[in-house]
Amino acid sequence: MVQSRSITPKVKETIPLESLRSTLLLARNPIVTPDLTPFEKVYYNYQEELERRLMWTFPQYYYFRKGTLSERRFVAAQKGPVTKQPGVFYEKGKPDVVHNRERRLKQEIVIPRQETEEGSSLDEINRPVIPNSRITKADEINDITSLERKLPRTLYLLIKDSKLGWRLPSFSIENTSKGLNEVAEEGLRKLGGEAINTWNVSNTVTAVLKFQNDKLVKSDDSSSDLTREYIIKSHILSGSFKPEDSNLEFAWLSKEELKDYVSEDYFNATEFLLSDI
Amino acid sequence: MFSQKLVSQGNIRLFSTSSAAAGRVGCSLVKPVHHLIKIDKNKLSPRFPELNLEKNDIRNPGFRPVATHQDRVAEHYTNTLQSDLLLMNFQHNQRRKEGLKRRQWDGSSPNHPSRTLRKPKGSEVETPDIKIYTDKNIPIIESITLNCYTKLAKDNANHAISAALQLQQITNCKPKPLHSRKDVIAWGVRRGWLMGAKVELKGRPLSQFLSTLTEIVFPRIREFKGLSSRAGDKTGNLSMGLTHEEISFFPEIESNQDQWSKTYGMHINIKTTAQTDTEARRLLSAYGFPIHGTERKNAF
Amino acid sequence: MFRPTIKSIPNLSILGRRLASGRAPGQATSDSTLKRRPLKKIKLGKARPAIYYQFNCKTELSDGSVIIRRSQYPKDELRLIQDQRNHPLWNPNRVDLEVIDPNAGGRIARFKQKFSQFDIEENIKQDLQQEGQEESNEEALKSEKEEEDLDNLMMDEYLELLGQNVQEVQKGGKVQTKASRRRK
Repeated sequence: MVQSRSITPKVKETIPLESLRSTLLLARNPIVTPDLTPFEKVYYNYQEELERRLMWTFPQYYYFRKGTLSERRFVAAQKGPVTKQPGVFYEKGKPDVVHNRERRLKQEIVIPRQETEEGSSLDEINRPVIPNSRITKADEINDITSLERKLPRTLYLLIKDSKLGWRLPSFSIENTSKGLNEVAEEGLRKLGGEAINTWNVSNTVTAVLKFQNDKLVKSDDSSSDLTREYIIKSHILSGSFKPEDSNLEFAWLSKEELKDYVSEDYFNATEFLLSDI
Repeated sequence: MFSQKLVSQGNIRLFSTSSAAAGRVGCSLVKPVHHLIKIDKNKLSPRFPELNLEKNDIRNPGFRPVATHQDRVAEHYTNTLQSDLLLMNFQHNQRRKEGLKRRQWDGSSPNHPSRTLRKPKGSEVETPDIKIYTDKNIPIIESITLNCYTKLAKDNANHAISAALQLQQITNCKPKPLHSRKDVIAWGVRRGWLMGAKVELKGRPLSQFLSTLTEIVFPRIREFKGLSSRAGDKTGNLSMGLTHEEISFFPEIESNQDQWSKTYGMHINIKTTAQTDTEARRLLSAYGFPIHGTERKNAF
Repeated sequence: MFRPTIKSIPNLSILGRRLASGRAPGQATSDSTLKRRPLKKIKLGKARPAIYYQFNCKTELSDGSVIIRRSQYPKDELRLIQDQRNHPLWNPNRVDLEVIDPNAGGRIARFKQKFSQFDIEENIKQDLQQEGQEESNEEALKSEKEEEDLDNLMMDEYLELLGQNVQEVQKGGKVQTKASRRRK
């Protein structure tokens, strides 16, 4: 059955089932935060510095009880402010120190590092936290079949059709007992194996592509010999796409890369579905 | 602006008693504007010119930098969730669905015309219409209010201060005091007593609180099932509670455990622009809130 | 109803007093380690918004991903062991995360978990099974009772095994006596 009740009767009467296809827009969501543009970087830095300047004095008395070891360690790690001495010329302005804080500048707190004995079992837990690289191995060797590439971007699954070239995976509808979304899901598993977990955003079709003799036509074309591709939006949650047929070419591509793979018409027709990030 | 108007009307507004003798009306023909226009007199004062500047102007003493770092939760919403939510809520041939409204009386009593209208069917109050879903009304989390009212504060007001400090530590925002509203003898509470604190989160503090909740706090709660499918006020605002034990899973409290021998439970009210609770739950699940249980049968 | 007033509370600044020192004038300082600061009122129109000192705390989740949290606690690195990334509720596809909750089952499950190493349990269990051919209602009651017996038996066994002067906690309170008598 075709998804929308309003179209179903018309379709049944006039259009043969072979002319309907279910297409899957399978997306891998970004894994890390988007890359910042140089302007954004500078802007965030400026705002952060402003905030640091306006921050209240660190309430040392609250976090470190007086006379404790941790307090002593903390105090030892701080660089104290330059105090004002009579008869001294201060190049960068006179110090204005209140409660051990230079009031003209932002307060800089140094957190004392805990030293552990080398080779102790605590080292495993106390090793410094270093963020992982945003560029993965797959990025370095440009492995377009890997899901672990372009971490800050949304990737889309593309498949190379022997006749029509690169395109979104599309499946024919055999009978009317299944919905478009079910056809798409089953088709994907037939192509790429069962070891994949996907989630359909909605049973509602996202977009329709119309073809006439394997050529894209405009969306308002209403000729009788059209082939319609109904696009179902889906996300990959876990697993991977591993084609059973080793000759099948597939790729996980971002929007810009996708432009180089598919035909210009196809890209223009699907561009609005693809995320910029 | 205001003063100019007064000046221009100065000739018309005559209140002197002699005007009546002169054959004129004794009162103003122009409605007094000062009843209608609310004036913030603080703004008229010349004492604090910098306070009249915009709040985002750095010369204003109330200036607070906002966009200080990348907001990954908000970016997740704009880059991924928004388009998905639009598609999920979309239905073919959608129409505005009228909410429950007050009904006419049947006219069987002569008093009916003067009575207020009947209550809506199946509800005590009127419910808003459900509008057509478009790209203009995609649901979004507007704010989260944390409400920490402690019973203990009735005996010792220090508990209210501790509760406020706890909220401040968790959210990095300044809480507002919470006072009891009424005398309730049974609870031993008098009107106006300081009983706790609350804080409304928006923007970056909201994002951080959401991610802390779903990434760090919830997974540590024993036998955690998720948000109840029955929580909500029918118009897209959901609420849940955290007990005083669960509060200690927040990293700030956990790292400082020796200072937090006593923690206070709180209510979390999530305000969304969703039109129904189901929609709001859908939105929250995208942020990593597990949902459990069955929905109400007559969900609006 | 007596209730201490707010005046006796140190450091009120969190709930908003317009005092730079965060302290009311004639206030007790006995329990506070803070030094007495001169009272200074923030002038009208000069109040700054509350921006607390925050650290950028690099927080490593259990799967190795690092997020930056802004936190007032003086710590710039935090490593989590249990979080969303290794919790079965958020990762239903991962088989390796199945946790066996010791308190998941009822009394019997708890008992089995505690004492499954003893052979005697199985013997008694078998006996129970043999006896279990009787009427259902009576059987249910009986088995419950038997379970309790079993529980006590196992407890004795266990205490013996420990070989220490362990005293069982007495359940239920003592019979109430008049206060005047208790004092004697």
